[in-house]
Amino acid sequence: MREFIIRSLHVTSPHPAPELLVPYALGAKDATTARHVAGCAICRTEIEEMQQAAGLLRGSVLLERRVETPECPDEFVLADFVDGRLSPEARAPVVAHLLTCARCRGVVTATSGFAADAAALSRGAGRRWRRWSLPLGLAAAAALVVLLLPRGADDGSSPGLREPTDTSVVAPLPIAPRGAVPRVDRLVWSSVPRVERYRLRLYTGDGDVLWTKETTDTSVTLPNSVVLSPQVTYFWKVEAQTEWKRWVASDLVEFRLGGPSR
Amino acid sequence: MAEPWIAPLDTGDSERAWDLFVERYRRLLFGAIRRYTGEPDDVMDVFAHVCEALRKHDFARLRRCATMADPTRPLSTWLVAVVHNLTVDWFRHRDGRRRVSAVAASLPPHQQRIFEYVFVQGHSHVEAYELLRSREAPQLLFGEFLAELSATYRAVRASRRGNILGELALDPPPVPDAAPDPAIAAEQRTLLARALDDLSPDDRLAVQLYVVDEMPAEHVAHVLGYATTKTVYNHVYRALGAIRSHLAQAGIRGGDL
Repeated sequence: MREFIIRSLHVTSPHPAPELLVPYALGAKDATTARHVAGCAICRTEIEEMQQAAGLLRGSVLLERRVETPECPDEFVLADFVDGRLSPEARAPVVAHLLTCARCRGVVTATSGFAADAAALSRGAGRRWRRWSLPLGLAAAAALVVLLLPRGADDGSSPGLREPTDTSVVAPLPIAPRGAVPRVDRLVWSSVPRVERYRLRLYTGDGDVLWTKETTDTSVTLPNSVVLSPQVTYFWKVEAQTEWKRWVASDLVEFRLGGPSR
Repeated sequence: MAEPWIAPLDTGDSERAWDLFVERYRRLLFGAIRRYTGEPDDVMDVFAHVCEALRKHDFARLRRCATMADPTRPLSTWLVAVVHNLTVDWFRHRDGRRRVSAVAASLPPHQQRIFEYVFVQGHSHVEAYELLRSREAPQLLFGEFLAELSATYRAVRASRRGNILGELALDPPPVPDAAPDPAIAAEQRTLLARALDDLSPDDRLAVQLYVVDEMPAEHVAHVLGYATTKTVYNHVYRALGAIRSHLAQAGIRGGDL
């Protein structure tokens, strides 16, 4: 109902809806919305005004501190907030606190991000994700041996805790997009320890390379120059450079804009 | 899900409980730590710090966790929150003991102080400006400070500990969005509070998380229990509209900000 009211007040022609206009105004790449805005004075004005308002909001960061105070909820409360487990009575003071506490919002942001990534990985990882278990297990065991030794003076002179050499071949895991997706702004994959750079390749359904990009990050934004058509299948994969001239490739992943996945 | 480490903890076999706990959650702990640093030395140092904190005071944190145990409550969210806070503690504790942080050592003097005030001590940007002006640079203008602040963040982001440091302080607004002096920043905050007054606290939080903290809309929707991201965008759209209309009523145009 509220969405209908918003649309009826502001939209007299097929202008982009808030779910397209807001992210675009705040910096998201969206070729379709960009084309509309380029030819629509109403939307250009609206975006300009949204950006001014967002700038004012962002300007309030100058006054924010990121330190713990006696009022900060403990980690159990914040975790229950993120998981939606608080009763309305318990939740209300947490929301009020988060509105004024950048430190606790940082905990919520970090925690919810990890939960979302973990869910994405557990959905798509399969056998490849289990390759992590060997080096991580060895690393934890090595750390535990040191932790369980008599401690004595903690002067930092003891042999350092060091992760064992990772001799396994861990490939990056494409996280998004996969299958049928409403739109594609970014391509995201899992990180690989000690990687020097990643190389992404986007293919058409016929196997032609549509776009390629190298980066040190684990995501890239699709440039406006790459226009994806709805109901068309595309493929992508990412390679990680683990040593000089040594690349480890992910599986090829399929996606398409809109419609049911294959 | 049953937590096998709780029974030995309850019966006094703390070390057995600890072994079972680590066996069960070590991968999660390492995964959470690696979000902040890929440096193998740092990963192991933070892991050791997390383990020490969880064992501290006869496993007090784990004992409290055991009292909250519920088969339907995932401990992973709590553990990630613990790792986040302990990673921040680890960095601040380590760098707070040094006269000049290793990250800040190569920065010019004003930026070293900004780093210390904002990243290590957790002061706001405006507080850092007032401290810097009162102690070292009485002639420093706010605009000059903002330029130094932005340069400090750029240097910090480019350092090998950029991911951890990003958790210690909020990025400053781009210079065009920043208030020209601290008094105006305070005024703008009051104006914002009035503009957003008609929104529910949840909607205000959605706007704060999405616009200021740059949290992805999917995560905002999850945390606030919205069915879809569309609700997030609609609330942000309404909130930005409310701010715009308050600005117009107050006679403030875009160029005045």
